[in-house]
Amino acid sequence: MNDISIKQILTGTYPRNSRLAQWDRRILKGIMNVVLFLALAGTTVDVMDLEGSLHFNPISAIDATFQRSHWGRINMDTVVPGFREKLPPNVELWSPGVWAAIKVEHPDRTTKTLSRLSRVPSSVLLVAIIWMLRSIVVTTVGTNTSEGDPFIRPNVRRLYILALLLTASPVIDFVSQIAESELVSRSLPKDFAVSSVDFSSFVPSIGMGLLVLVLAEVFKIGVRLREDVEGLV
Amino acid sequence: MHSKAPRRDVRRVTIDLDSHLESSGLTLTELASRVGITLVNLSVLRNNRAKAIRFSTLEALCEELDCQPGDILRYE
Repeated sequence: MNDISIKQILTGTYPRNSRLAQWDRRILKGIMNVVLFLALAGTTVDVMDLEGSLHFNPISAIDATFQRSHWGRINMDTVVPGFREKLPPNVELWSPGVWAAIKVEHPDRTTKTLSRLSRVPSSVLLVAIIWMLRSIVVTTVGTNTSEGDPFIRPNVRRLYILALLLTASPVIDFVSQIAESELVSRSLPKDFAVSSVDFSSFVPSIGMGLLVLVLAEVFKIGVRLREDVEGLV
Repeated sequence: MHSKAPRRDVRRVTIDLDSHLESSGLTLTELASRVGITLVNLSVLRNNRAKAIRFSTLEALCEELDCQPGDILRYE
């Protein structure tokens, strides 16, 4: 640490075998490993159809729940008939239902399957995305003995897969929402549930997918340039 | 529009260093040192694994081997 100047620290140009650089790499890899572990743990919990979550809110501060609940819309017209007439004239409901956490009591086999279908594909997708990002980060930061290089063919392949996963995520999200909606309908008395599919995340996901696809193309050119430079004597 | 790039696995321009090394009496290590490139890079060049050569490298090679670029470069 002593032989590194403040300027080197601020500009990030300290030697790669210095202790500071080693800690940089350790922290970055550590963060990626922790994120991957959390995603894997979440997926395992989803596969086992369990739930343990902490909610922070201003009323109860911390609210811990260990029972699986599903998000669905409750039809307010069924709960409180004629409630719309009681609303002030300048208030218009955006949706006929309100969001609610619905706990499924004594789930049967179909309900459990739907419950898993509503969470597991999204969780697996998240794990795959984090795994790809982690691999790219690991190859980029390098090790104490070898220089990291992002412009390698495996990273181009990873970016293509990442783009594909991001583009496919709306489809998986759609399936999850359908399963969740069906589950909520089964768990509530007739006419209480409002089926709905939210398309709002579709455009950002596809946009991100296209952005990563462009990045993959840039990396592909980068790999070719790197190979040219490496063959230059 | 770009024309189609030539296939990279087909080497058409080759380098012949061996005969000139022999006539000049230099070893590969000595030549690398005089030209100012690493022994590894000179081996890459000698074994026709290089994809490109700098003019400065070519000039230094010609200088040390006392030859013209055409004497060491061949189009096959």
